[in-house]
Order: sequence, then structure tokens, then C-alpha cells
Amino acid sequence: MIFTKEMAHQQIAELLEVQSGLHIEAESETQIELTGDIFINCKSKGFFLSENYPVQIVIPLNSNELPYVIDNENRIAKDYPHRYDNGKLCLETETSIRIRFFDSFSLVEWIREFVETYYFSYEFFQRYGEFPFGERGHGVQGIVETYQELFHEKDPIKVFALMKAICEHPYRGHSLCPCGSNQKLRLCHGPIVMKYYMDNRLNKIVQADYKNIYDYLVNCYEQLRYREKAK
Amino acid sequence: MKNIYERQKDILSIIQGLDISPTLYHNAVEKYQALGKYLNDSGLKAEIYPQGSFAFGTVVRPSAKDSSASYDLDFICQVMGSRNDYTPKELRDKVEIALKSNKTYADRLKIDDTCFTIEYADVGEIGFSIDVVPAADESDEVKQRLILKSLVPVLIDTAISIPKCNNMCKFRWITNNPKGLRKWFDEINAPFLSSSKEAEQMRIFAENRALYESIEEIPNELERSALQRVIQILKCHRNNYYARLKDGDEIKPISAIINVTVTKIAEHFNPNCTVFELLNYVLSELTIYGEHQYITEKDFNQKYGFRTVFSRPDGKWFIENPANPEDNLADQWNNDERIPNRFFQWIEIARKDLISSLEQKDNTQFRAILENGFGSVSVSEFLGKKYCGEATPRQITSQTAARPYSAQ
Ligand SMILES: [Zn+2]
Ligand SMILES: [Zn+2]
Repeated sequence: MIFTKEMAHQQIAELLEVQSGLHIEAESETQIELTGDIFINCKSKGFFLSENYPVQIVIPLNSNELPYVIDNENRIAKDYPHRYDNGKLCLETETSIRIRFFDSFSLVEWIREFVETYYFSYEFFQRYGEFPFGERGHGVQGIVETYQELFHEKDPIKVFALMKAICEHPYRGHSLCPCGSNQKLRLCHGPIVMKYYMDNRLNKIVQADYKNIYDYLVNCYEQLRYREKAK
Repeated sequence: MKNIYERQKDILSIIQGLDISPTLYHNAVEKYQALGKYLNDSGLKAEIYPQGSFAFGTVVRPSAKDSSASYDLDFICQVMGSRNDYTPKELRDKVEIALKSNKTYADRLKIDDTCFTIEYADVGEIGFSIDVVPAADESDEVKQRLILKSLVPVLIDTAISIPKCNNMCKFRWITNNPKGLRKWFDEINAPFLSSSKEAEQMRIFAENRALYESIEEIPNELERSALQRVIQILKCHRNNYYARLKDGDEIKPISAIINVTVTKIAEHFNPNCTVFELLNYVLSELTIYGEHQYITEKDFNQKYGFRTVFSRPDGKWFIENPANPEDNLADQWNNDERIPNRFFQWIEIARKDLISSLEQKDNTQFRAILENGFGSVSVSEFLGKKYCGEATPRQITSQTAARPYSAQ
């Protein structure tokens, strides 16, 4: 669970102090909805952005679902690849956001690190035709990429092997590293991946993603076999 | 409250700041004339004259990573005689030997494929470098051929030939006509200049009391017309725009394209206009020429009438150099489609930054637009903290920055 109603209200109060263009639009037992303008004032790569954006922010209550942003006034161009048809913004992989806030969620930080950066990337892309910080591959690819970065490992097969081990075995530093290097875990990927074995909250995130990737791969394999048969 | 007029004035003050200062101008003139004198004294009969932005009065300080970037000023060193009197290599060697045999020049000399660069920039100071391109008079045969093709045949007489080295470092002759181009430009610029003459003299005099005792002492070459300012604004905006692109150095439009297309567009505009009236007109015309990307030559001509600055017969981009009918300034555009695509995208951005945002954006937004368009170093240098909001913009660390992602 991310927010009780009380926690949400406390964080919304903090958020409205830094983003005074927002207000509570609607509230129910399941979610709180903010609308209004967020003001973004940042720079990177020699590009400056100082701009207001109309948004609708939905904060689910008593749920594990992450808050999300809707471009309710269609400020983002229709042909921009990172906006869903329903107006929801594709901020980042859930993995990145959940791992960033595995300890405790902060609305203020979430807006700053994910929402502001999203608009910054958007404006940079509109102006220069390039993503200032890159973009994630779609679907499973983006999730694997996220773990490639978290594990400091370029090879996606090794990443998958590490995820599997994290989900299925306890941490044993003296056993062989699941990446196949033939080295002891503690001398190989151990120091980087240890926390995903040890911390329950991180471990749960890896479990969920591992299952998704696994299901995706099984699905791909079955489709392949089906096509082979059809020939 | 948005004061559009004041915002325009502030953009102009950035451009004035990036223009070559009278002191630097006098210094550069002195240096290139001394070089000419030295060459003649040492037996090489030659004339040195400015070409490019120094000749046009459209110099802008290049946007560099450090604030003390130096100006690149371009000159032709036209050796007496025609190209028939030398091989390209002989001509080049003559100039090289002369430059190398004098310590003052030899110590400052850098040599590349087409030109000799003499570096006058001192450490930590804004200086300049003089690029000298060796040349000889073009042959009569070639001139005759050009005259037959040219829309302005009187310009052809000053055509020259330049030794150009190909990738095997073999030299061949290339025809060029910087004097003709300058003459063409000066004629179109003249009515614009006379309309701003008085105001310009007053401005330069007021800003350089220590340098000039009377208005008469100010060289005409320092006065700027609306046309020259428009070219400078666009060159500066281009520098900053393309500096942000990964492939910016490869696809940046050459200054000659900006000089020539803007001048051709301005030719039939009211010379008593303000800088921003002309800029607005030029950018809207350039936007129309962008239609060449999407529609056929025939449809373009039907829809937009007599507009010939850019054309695209048989799908090939063409921008004629008015002083050399065999020179298509858009040659590279036909080898790499990123160049025209990006050029017209840039025009769209420039139009937003320089025209519409002046009335649409509030002060902090306008400040960001200025920094994007002209570089934050220059904006701070010439406008201080004007238009800055209370909060300074937060720096996003690119290594850890969020990246957009779609699950579907
Ligand atoms: Zn997306
Ligand atoms: Zn390993």
C-alpha cells in the first residue's frame, strides 16, 4: 500500500506549498484527484525550461497502484510517442519509480524527479528531435533495461539469471554468481544485487518483474511454436 | 505586463554585444592591412580583402563553451595574375612561403586544407583570428561562361580561383566570387543602411566616446542596418540551436545560406522597417519555402507564386549564389536530407522564440527562451539577471534522470 487517506493529505499539503497552482479537485475513498498547473523550472544539456503545464494528478488510496498524471488539456502533441491515448503520461518504468521510493513514497520528490523530467524531455524532444536522457524501450524491453542499469550489467541474459536467483534463492556470497562468471557471488555481482535479496520490499518488486518477463518469454516461445506448426 | 518593444530591444542588445566591437574592428583592419603590406614588401604582389561576415558586417561571436571565444574573420589574399599563371599548388605555396618567412606570422600560423589561419587571440581575452584564403583572378574563359549564365552579369568580373585540396591532398581550382557577392549585398543593404544611419551613428558615438571625437570619425563599416541585424540574430540563434544537437556540427547550415537567403527575401521589403518587422517577414517567408519539403515544384509555384530563393527542380534543392551561377549553396542538402529537414525545423523554432514568444510568455519563460536561443553566457553577460524568476532553474543530472517509457 502506498497511501492511507491521512498520509496522502499530509503529502498533498507539502506538494501544494511548492506547486501552488494545484488544488484538490475531487476526493473519494479510493482516490484523490488534483488539478491545475504545475510550474517547471529546470535546465540540463544547455536547455532551459520554464513553463506551466495543466495536469490532472490521480493519487490512489489504500492501494499498491502508483500515482499517475493525466494530460487533461492535451498539452502534449498527439504524435509524441510517450503519452497514452487516454492522456496518461509514460513517466518511467514502474520498476524505476517503485525502487526509487521502496522505502517511502514522496509526492514532492516524485513530481520533481519524474513529472518535471518528463516535461523537460518532451520539450527538448520537440525542439531538437532527440531525447536529452534517452528513452526506454517499450514493454518488457524497458523493464529489462531498468535492471541492466540497476545491476550494472549490460547483458540482458545475465540480468535475467540474476533476477531468477534473487527470486528463488537466499543470498549466499560464497556460492557461484548466477551470471555464469564462475566467480563467487560476493566477488562478482554480489555487492550490487545483495539488497534485492535482503530487503523484502525490493525483493517483491523484482519478483513481480521477474514473473512478467518470464510470462512474456513463455508467451513468445509458444507463439513461435504455433507458427512453426502452422507451416 | 509584457513589453514586446523592450524584449526586442533586449534581444538587440545581446546581438550588439556579440557583434565585433569598434576597438576589435580597428585592430583587425590594422592587422590585415599590415599583412597586405608585408606580403607586397616581400615581393608577393597581392591584395587582401575581407569576405564573408566581416565583409557583410554580420559578425557574431561564436557560441563557445568558454565565454572568451574569438571571432573568425575571413579574408582573401588575391595574388596578382590569373589562374592561368599558376598551378593551384604553386599559388598556395607562394603564400605559404611568404607567411612562414616572417616570425610574427609564422608563430601564429595554422594551416589547413583551404586556408591559413593567423591567430591573434591572447589568453583569457576575446580576440580574433584571420583566415587567409589564397586566390588568383579567374580565367577569362570561365568568366565568359559565368556571364552567360548569370542573372547579374556585372558581378562576374571579380570572380577568383582558389586552390582547394581534395582528400588525396591534390590541389585543384575552385571558382568563387566574394567581391561580387559583397557588391550584391551592399546594393540591397544600402537603402536599409541609410534608413538607420543616423540612429546608428548616434548609438556608436554614445557607446564609444573614448574612441571617437566626432561622428565623422566612425567608419561606415560599423553601422548596422535592420537587414544586417536580422542576419546576425539568425546566425546567433542557429549557433545555439545546432550546438545542442548530437549531429549539429555535421548538419549546421552554412552562414552563406543565411546571408544570401535573408538578403534575397529582404530585397523587396520596405527598407524603413524595424529589425523585428523584417525578421518576422523573413521567418514567415522561410516557413513558406519549407513547403518545398512536402509538395512538388509545380504545386509550390502554383500556390506561392513568384518565390525563387529556394527551389527544388527534380527534387534537388537549389539556392543560387548571386555572384556565381555555378555555385549551388544547397549542394550539401542534396547529399544529406537531415540538413534541409533540420533547417526548416530550426526556422520553426526560431519563429516561436523570436516572434510569438515575445507576446505570449511571461518574464521567467522569456528568460528561458533567451538562454536557449542565445546561450546563457551571453544572456547573463549583456542582460544580467533581467527576467530571472525568484527561483534559479534546477539542474537535472542526466545520468540518473528519468526516461520516458511506455508499457504498451
Ligand atoms: Zn512512452
Ligand atoms: Zn556475476
